[in-house]
Amino acid sequence: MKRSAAFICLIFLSAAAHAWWNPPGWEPSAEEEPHFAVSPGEVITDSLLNLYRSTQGSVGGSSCPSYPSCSAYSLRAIDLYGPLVGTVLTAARLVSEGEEGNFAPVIHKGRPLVYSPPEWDMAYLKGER
Amino acid sequence: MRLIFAALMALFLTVPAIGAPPPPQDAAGINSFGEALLGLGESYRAATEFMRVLHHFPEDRENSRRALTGLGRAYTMAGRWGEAAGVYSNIFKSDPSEVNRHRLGASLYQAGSFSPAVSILTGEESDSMRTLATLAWLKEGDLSEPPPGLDANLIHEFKNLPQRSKTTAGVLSALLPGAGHYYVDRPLDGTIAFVINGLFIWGTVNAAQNGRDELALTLGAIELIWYSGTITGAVAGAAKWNHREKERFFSRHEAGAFPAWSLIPIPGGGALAWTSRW
Repeated sequence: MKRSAAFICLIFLSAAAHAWWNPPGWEPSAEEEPHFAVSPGEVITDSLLNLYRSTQGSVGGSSCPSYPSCSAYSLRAIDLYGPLVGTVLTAARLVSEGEEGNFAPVIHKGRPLVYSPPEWDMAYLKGER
Repeated sequence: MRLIFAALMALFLTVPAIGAPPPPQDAAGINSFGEALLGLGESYRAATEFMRVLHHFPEDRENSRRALTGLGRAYTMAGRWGEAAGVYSNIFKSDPSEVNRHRLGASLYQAGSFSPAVSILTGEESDSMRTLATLAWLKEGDLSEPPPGLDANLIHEFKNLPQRSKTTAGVLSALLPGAGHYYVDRPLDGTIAFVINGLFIWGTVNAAQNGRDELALTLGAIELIWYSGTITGAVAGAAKWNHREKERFFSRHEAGAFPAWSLIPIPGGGALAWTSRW
């Protein structure tokens, strides 16, 4: 009996998996690969940011008007450009966030958010955008 | 129990058979269905129907052409401009009309293939095609020598767009934190930067004057980050200001330069009268 129930469950699951399809161009975005800190500075900054995200960030809710949020931006910037440049980019983001909506596209993720990833800011600084 | 289980299994197994599509028999009917899906905005399902026609009825020229047109429209609706350009390229080879040239050029432009778009669109009498060719050439970025046939007024307007200097923004922010933000039309950000930097500089100086060296060092280090961030933000702000001006220029002129696209009439029914721009 248990084996039969398990088999039926398996059929349901396979049907659900089969139903989950998207044509090319409409796939859900792939999850980013986990990143591991590789330098002492990165360990410290990542730890502080993760502490913020798991305490204040999770209690206060998502009130950041930008996407990615400032803490996520900071983690990404440090991951991409190291703790020094990443921290400076984060400071630039925090200072310039108020009027970013006049210059960057607005996307909708439950609510309107200003899209400004660190890659774009670096491209602006390098004159590539 | 086993009998019930077998019956359930049989029921489950029949589901795919019920859901399977009927075998294709009539190209015009499939095209019509695809066009109806397009009308509902179901671009990828419509694309599947048009591909079905192209696969099963390659010898039916009239319906293949109709399916290709529909497929191109489906791709443009989905914003898949590279594929749309491929389809319109096929259409243009068999029918090099002005409309098809315009659609191919516009698809290439939207796909970011600016150089081929310039080649396709240059030399045409149509104002919208000349505008689009000029915009494509401007987006290529090499403004040294414009090819003949482009809109000189548009090139002049682009070259004289207002700009903000990254160097000026950075120097202003270095001299007075926040001034660079004012320069790039961010007065609120400039005020925030001025207040934050002012507070941290005041705190550092105050701590140093009172002999609290560790606190002064800590606040000074944090201030250094804010100061660097303020300059960086102002420099990036100037680049964003310039980028926004360019985007506004392109969207202003793109508005009238893209081709109109009419939906194909449904056979046996009233023609769909609407026309849209893409």
